[in-house]
Amino acid sequence: MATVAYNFYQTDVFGPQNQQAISSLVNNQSTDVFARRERRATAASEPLPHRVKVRIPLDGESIELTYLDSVLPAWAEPVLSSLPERWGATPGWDGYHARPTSVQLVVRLLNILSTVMLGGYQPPQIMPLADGGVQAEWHRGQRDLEIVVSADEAPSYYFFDHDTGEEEEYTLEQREDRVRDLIGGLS
Amino acid sequence: MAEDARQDDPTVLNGDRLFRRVQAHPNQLFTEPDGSKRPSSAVFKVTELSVNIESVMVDFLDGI
Repeated sequence: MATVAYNFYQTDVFGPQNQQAISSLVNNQSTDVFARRERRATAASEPLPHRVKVRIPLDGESIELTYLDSVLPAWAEPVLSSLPERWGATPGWDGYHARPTSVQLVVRLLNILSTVMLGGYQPPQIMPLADGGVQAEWHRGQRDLEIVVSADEAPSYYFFDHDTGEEEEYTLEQREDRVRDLIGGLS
Repeated sequence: MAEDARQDDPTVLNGDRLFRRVQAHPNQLFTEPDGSKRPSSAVFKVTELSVNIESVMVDFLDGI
């Protein structure tokens, strides 16, 4: 798994300036495992340990993400691989007036997933929102679960069981355990 | 807080079905385990949603 991820997401190595930025991020944002790194043309240098750098091609450009661990978790590979086709790249990408997908909101969703996903969980499908946000979806049988990171509201989740009529919609804060259980039930 | 200028439109009947155009693109369609696809709920999460009204469409088509 790790070998595939590293090969598939081979990226440029970062120059000294970016290495400093990565070190600072480790010290100051230990809870966020994904961080956006701006792409720079730099000379090659030794890659840092315990980092996975991922380049995501988008309409002729690309963004780079850094995962602050030595190996991507199993769910991350299919999710990251899907992002180029699940991205709203240009204004009006939905045929109406959608805003382009925000990298910051995608990173926020990835960090939420890092918190709630456990080994063996089914990876979600990622969908862009018209406001530039993004959501993760699971559907299995008659049960639906979504984690929504929109541009204007706090991250939230929505769960609905069509068989029982059970329905939940809350902000995600302090409900990670519940969401983790729901994902487990869909995996 | 500014008052919402949008008003209920009584010409749209409660029983009218509303259609939203969804593009056949992976960023709008959820892929089921059997490979079939259906619109993601994300396509309906829009503050102001453009739709087609079934009765208006039928009247229009009848007039052709």
